[in-house]
Amino acid sequence: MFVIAIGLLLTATLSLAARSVHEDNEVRLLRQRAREAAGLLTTAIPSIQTPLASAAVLAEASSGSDIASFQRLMEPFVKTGRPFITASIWKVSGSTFQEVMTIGAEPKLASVDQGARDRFLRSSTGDDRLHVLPLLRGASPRLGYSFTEPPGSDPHFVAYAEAALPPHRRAVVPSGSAFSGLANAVYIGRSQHEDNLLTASTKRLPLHGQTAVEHVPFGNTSLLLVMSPDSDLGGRLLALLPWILAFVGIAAIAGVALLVEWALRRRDNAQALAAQNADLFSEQRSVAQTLQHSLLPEELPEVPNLNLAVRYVPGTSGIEVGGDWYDVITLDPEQLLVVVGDVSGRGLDAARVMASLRFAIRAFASQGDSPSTILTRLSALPDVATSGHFATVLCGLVETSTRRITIANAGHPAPLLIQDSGSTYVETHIGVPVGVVKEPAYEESTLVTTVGATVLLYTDGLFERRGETGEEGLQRLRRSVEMSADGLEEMLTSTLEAQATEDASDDTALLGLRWTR
Amino acid sequence: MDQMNEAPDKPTPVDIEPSGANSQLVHMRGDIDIATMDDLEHALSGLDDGGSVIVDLSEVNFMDSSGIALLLRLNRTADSLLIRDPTPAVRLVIEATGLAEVLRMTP
Repeated sequence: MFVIAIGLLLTATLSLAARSVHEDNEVRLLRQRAREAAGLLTTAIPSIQTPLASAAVLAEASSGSDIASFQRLMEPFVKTGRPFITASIWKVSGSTFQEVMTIGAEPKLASVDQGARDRFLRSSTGDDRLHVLPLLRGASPRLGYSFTEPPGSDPHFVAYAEAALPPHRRAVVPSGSAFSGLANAVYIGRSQHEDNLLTASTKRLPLHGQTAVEHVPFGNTSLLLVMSPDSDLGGRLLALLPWILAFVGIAAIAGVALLVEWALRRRDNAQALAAQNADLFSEQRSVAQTLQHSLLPEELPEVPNLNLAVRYVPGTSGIEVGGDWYDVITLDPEQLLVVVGDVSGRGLDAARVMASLRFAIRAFASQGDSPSTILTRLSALPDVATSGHFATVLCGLVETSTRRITIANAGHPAPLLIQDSGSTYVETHIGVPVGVVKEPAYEESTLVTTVGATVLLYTDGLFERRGETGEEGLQRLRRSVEMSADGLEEMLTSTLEAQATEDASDDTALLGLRWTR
Repeated sequence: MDQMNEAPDKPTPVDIEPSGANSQLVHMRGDIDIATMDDLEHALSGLDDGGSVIVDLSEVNFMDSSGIALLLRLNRTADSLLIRDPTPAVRLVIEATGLAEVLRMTP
């Protein structure tokens, strides 16, 4: 009798324990999914803010008159499948706001009540955050975004764009597809009020039962993400793709493609939780990488007398986007500016600083600033001055007909010159990194090379290793380069292979120039 | 990746002690890099705002750009920052990033 009682008690305890483990697991998984979804949502910000910030810089630099440049800059972002359906520049003069140029559809902002419109535009001139305007009425709801370089001049300019939300704010999850299993709703602001709804997968709102809630900072406001399971979560995928598409647009499309592939893989058989987590980790990494790539130049210009090649290798640890970048800017047929930089820290904030540095350099260079002047002006950028991040940047003005490179260096590793079968580090005047002191001064140095010479610009991920001094790392890099293959592309590939380590936590950007004549 | 965070016999990365009126001494050890940054940041949250801060780096043999960022943050929050006895490796990193004129070091 006693034995039976004990047995019953044990069984009851065990099944209770098992049930609570199962429920814990469910709750944990749901929370984890919500966190992942929130992480994905945060990647939307730079893809929205970056083009707007550069449009604002451009408008400011040209006093709002350079329509051709505005079109060239914004066109890739304003079409079906891209983040925006309309983009415009608004001129702020005293207390009046005027739409000075527009591409794409008619902005809804132009038709809202003038008082509300002016209030929104005025509020967005107050700081350097992305400002968000919900335009949710009617069958084709939109979100408006504005960004301003900080005021100080009158007039100044607001860059504005609108993204289309799904019709009736419903992003339906196809039943029976890999995307079913989770209901979701996204609101703007902090409450689940139907007026604030951006998208939802279901009509039955607010979501009931077991829910996970995440607040996602979103410019001057925040998003509220609510998720609840339709059924067991094990082996189910994010039901999120439709609204991720709605938000993230360009930057995440490739990432979403990966997620879909992952989802299809996952459907085939349920994997162990550990394996799932490993997958989630790598998927988040690829979203971060996709974002990073969206912030780097899509293609390199064709330049006479010069071969160009680039590589970007994300670090192997951490899922956050890094702050390394490179850029090649054609100034005129005989001049280009090459840039390599590294923002301290990782994550969205670093990526934001990187994007604003990259686009500011483009804007300053197109105004004819010299490399040293460009570097000096970068420290005054608001994103840089207030972020707590600093950046090392190397700027080189390349004259293609004379093979002359004029270099200014803000704390960045020196370029490596390979010519006559030997290699040397180019001596530069090393100034302070960008964002450390108010008006840093930089000295330029000049490098003239022979035909066939190669110059490598890179970030410290290429040579820094734990347990080794920077000096040793630089020596190792020289050996790798000297032993590398002949062609420029092959040289970059074999150098990266030789320098790779298992636990390289840092990103690496690498840019090579070789004079062909 | 996990091994990196669980090095055997990991020493306490940082000690903070007062050193005279309105002055604090921060003694860091081991590597100052992205892998140890969370621990360091956590420990440094115990630092009082303002005043003068002396950072002893005589037992730090490796520092990367996240370490530089950390020193720059201290330089901003403290009234004055002095880096005491940096090892050659650390000194080199500070000089190579053009920060020798911003971050004060003992000779």
